[in-house]
Amino acid sequence: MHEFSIASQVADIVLTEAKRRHAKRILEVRVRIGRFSFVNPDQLRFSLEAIAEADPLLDGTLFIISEEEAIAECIECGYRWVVESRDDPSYHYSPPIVQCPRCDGISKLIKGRDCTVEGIRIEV
Amino acid sequence: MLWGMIMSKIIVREDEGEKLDVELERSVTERNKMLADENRRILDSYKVRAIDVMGATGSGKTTLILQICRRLKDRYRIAVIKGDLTSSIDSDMIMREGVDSVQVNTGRECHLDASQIRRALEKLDLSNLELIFIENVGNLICPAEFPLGSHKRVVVISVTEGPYTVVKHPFMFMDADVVVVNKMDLSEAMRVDPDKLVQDIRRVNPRAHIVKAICRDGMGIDEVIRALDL
Repeated sequence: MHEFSIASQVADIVLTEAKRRHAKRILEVRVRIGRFSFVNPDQLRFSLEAIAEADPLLDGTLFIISEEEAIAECIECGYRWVVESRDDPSYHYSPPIVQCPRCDGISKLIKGRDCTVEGIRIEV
Repeated sequence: MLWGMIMSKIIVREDEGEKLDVELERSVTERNKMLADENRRILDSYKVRAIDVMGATGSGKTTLILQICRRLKDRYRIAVIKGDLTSSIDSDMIMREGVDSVQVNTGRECHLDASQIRRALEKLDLSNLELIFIENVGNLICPAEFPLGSHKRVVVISVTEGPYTVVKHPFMFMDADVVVVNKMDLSEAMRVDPDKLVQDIRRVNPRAHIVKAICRDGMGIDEVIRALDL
């Protein structure tokens, strides 16, 4: 499952930082999921909690998961806009074709494909 | 007051039990990108070219690789890295052609990642290779997000997947160098217009080289080889 691999990366990033700062406990972890990252928030939470069971630093950690909107930029005219997904959330999203609403040109997503660990709250 | 008195070092530490907010803003896919770049450096140092082959299950990825290997194995020293959740069915087929194959079983992971490729590269004798095909897990979604460090990307779709494959999976096609539209002989039976698929691909990726093929019969294989500069 995809979400488990993302959760492992999150745990890696968070535990490395917590250990670097000699934290006794990680109280909170804030993660932002890109709208088109194909990560299901419930499954991610499930995976994070499963990983948390195996490490005392993550005992009782609160995982705060938020969604990041997707922004596309037209390669031809430079226009930027927020891309909405018209599908309901399901295990894997089907995003719409990313075509510039201003000039019909090809565009690329500059935000919204990735997952980001925003930060942590630790007890030292 | 004594001159030359040594000042003691003053360090301000957090109090015990103090709570600290640490801002990180770290991308989760960053680590994979870093590992992918490392893989690329390793390949370049041995002058080995790696080619990604992606596509849905049953689209024809393995058949394409087999056909290409048959035509090129006397010209290049080739190996194949094959990703699958379980089994070694495809790897076995490839080895029967006399081509080295490393099987990566991803377990429940639906895509190959750069760290798995790194381990696979360590199992190969890179000083004795010129070309590596990396066949990803059958999946048109996740592999697009996990670069592996290769030089070119081939995406295989077949008319048997229906008319909406490209429209529904734009990201996979945006980063492709070559797109193979396979099983052309079945387009009438499927009532799928391959030219419409070609149009869909061009809209998402105007630069991709599109090849209509019947991989099983060898049709289109030479064009794919040329499109890959091989």
